[in-house]
Amino acid sequence: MLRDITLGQFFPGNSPLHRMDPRVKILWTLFFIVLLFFINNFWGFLIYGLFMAFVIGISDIRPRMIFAGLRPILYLLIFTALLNIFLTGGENVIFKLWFLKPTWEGLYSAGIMAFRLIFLVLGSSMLTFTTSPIVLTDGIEHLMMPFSKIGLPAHEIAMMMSIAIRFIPTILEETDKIMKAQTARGADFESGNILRRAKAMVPLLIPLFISAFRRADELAMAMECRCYHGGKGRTRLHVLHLSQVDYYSVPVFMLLLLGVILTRVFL
Amino acid sequence: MILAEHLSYTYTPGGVFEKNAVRDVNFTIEDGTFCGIIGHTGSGKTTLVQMLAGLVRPTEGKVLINGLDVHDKKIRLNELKGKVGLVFQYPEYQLFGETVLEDVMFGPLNLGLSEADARKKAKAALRDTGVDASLFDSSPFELSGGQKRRIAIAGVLALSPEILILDEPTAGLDPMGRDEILSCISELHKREKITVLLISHSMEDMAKYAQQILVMDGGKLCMHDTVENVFSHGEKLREMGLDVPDITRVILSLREKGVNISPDIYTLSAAKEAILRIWREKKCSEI
Amino acid sequence: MIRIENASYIYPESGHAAVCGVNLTIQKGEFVTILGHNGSGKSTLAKLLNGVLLPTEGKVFVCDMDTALEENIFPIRSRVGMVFQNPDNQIVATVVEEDVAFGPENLGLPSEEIRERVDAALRAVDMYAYRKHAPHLLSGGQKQRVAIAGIIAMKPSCIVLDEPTAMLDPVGRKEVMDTVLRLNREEEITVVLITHFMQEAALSDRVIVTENGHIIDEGTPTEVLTKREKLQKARLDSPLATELLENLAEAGMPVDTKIIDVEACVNSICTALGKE
Repeated sequence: MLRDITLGQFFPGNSPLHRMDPRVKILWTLFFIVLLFFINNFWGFLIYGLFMAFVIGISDIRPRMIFAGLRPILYLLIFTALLNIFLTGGENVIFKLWFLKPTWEGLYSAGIMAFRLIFLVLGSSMLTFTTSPIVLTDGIEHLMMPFSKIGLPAHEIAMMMSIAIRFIPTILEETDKIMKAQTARGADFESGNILRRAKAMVPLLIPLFISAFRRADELAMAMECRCYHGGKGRTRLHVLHLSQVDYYSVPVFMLLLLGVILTRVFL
Repeated sequence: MILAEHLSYTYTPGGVFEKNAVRDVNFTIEDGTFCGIIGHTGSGKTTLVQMLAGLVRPTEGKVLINGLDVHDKKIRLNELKGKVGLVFQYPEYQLFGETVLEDVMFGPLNLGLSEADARKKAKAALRDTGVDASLFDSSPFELSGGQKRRIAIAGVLALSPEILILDEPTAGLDPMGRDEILSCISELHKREKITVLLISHSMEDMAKYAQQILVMDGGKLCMHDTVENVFSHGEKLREMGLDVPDITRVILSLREKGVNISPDIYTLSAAKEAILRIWREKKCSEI
Repeated sequence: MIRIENASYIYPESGHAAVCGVNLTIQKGEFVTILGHNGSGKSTLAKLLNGVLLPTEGKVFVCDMDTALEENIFPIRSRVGMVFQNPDNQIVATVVEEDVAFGPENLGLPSEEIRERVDAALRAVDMYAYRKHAPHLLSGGQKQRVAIAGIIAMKPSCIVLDEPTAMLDPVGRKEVMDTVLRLNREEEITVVLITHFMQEAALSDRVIVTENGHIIDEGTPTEVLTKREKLQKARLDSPLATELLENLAEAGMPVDTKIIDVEACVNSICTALGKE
């Protein structure tokens, strides 16, 4: 059950998207998201849709996987859409039922909101699908570097993130084991009301915390023994460098920008 | 009596844990037996015992304990509750109580015993594992590794299980710590006539304590026999990536060199007697 | 290589003296085992060797550098690498080769050299085929070999292994010990192995037995491991082969009792029985 959760799902591959520099990918994702909020009509979303289809097409990832990622936000999507439909004021009421007065304006803004959400999730999941967590943190570290001059601990943040990612499977496995062990001693994690269940978690959480601290302690010692002394003077095995794919991405995104501008101006 | 019938377990196909599958395992273990389980890592031992304890549901087959189905939720929570005790690998990592006594009482309290009865059971279990009464009120986290291990084992013994399963209870302990824990278990087995199933990589421990051995390989049960019969198949065990006890190795090499000695010897005293007998016979014939 | 002069270590929180007045010299290229039961001070002693802990009394020198001096600490740690008991708690990265690269990266080497060292280290522990794998999916023995590769990639002259096999199964134990032996014999790396397994001690050049923070015995494996009473006092076992031979000798059979391995034991019995 616990093993089914995989954070920041990554599908290894060798598509142009996989080969892009993580820094470039992160920046383009931000660009994609910001631009999304400038779209004010459905023609814009049509262009986004075409662009997304192109990106998914070259990504080597099965579309089914990508749309499965949308499922968790389905309820959020329906909820915000309903709120928009019923709460947006407007002249053109579709029908009237008691106090509910859905308007055409509401329906329109619900549509816009829904598309924004969908593209937001699709765009950011394309980033995590094609970038391994470690490479991603690497990219984040590099992008944050300029801010380290004003005291932002860029390297430390990235190191913490990558160690957290490294220990997720280990801790999940341990949780599973401790849960089974306490069940073998008659613990019951599944029945009773919320209060009882919360109390039942104590024999699980205490060993987990203690073990996490012990692991942290041992890891810190092992890292020190391998001469770790923060980011200063540290080099990397994989140096990030821009490649052809990164340069090719510029005109593609410029085309997207142009498309969105055109829809705003002319349609 | 433990009865396993066509017991199989497959993890989600293609998943990471697929290698620990169990395939069509059948066996019967009579009450009061001390049975060892050997097999290299990934042979399915751990999954097997977790199924026996009712913690993992088999994908096929069933486990009957005294004729009752372990995987029937109602039976497990009533008739069989606390009957099968399972000590996990590195059980000290599951300690959570503020005091040693409180931790060991967790099991009996879950069985619905009164505070006083649970305390009594816990104290008895701690005594059985050789934990000194002066430590009962200290925090388990301040004690040494060997002591923590015993407290964790006491936590399972306090359930008064009729079947006690131990998954590598001595991993990481030094030779003395290992002997101390296993002799506690052996003592308990003799006194209370409980059934013990012991997973261990140490063939020396098997030779010393077990009466029969289950050998797992690639998820299948490939031997279930008395200790001497299992160890006399030294070659077969080695093919499975398993050791044989040092004494068996000595005996088997002696046989290879043409010494006429029985292959089912695996204890130090038996080996000594057999070798001395041959030596004396030789001396007599020389005179 | 390493010189310990009258070193003691007292834990500040508990006041427990884990190491008391130890003198020890480890030569270059040697394979030394420190044998002792849990709590005998052997792990604390190991931590003194590369400045993870500083002796509360006495001195520890690595290549004539005092571990107590702040400026020596990184040169010392790049010369004396350390492998710990739990393989899970010393692997930093989510890809094998990234983890092996961690040490060289900290040393600030150029990335081409890191690449070379990582590949060489992975080959040395026979894990090159797994360089792109996720460490948490490897077996215990494989994880521990990755940890060893992570140390070798820093090109140390000495590796200290603190019970590297305690959490492994027999197969993993053999993998790790084969690797350690090969590194010692072929790459001429000094090895200090902390363990409570006799079988592992038997492979080394010199065995040191610790008890209660003191060194109570020292010598070749055969010398040390055949002293049964002394070992028992240190809460340790003697090899079963030795025990069998002693039993036979007591009964009057002419066998050699200064033997620790099965093969020699069999030969000695065969000789006594007149079989070759």
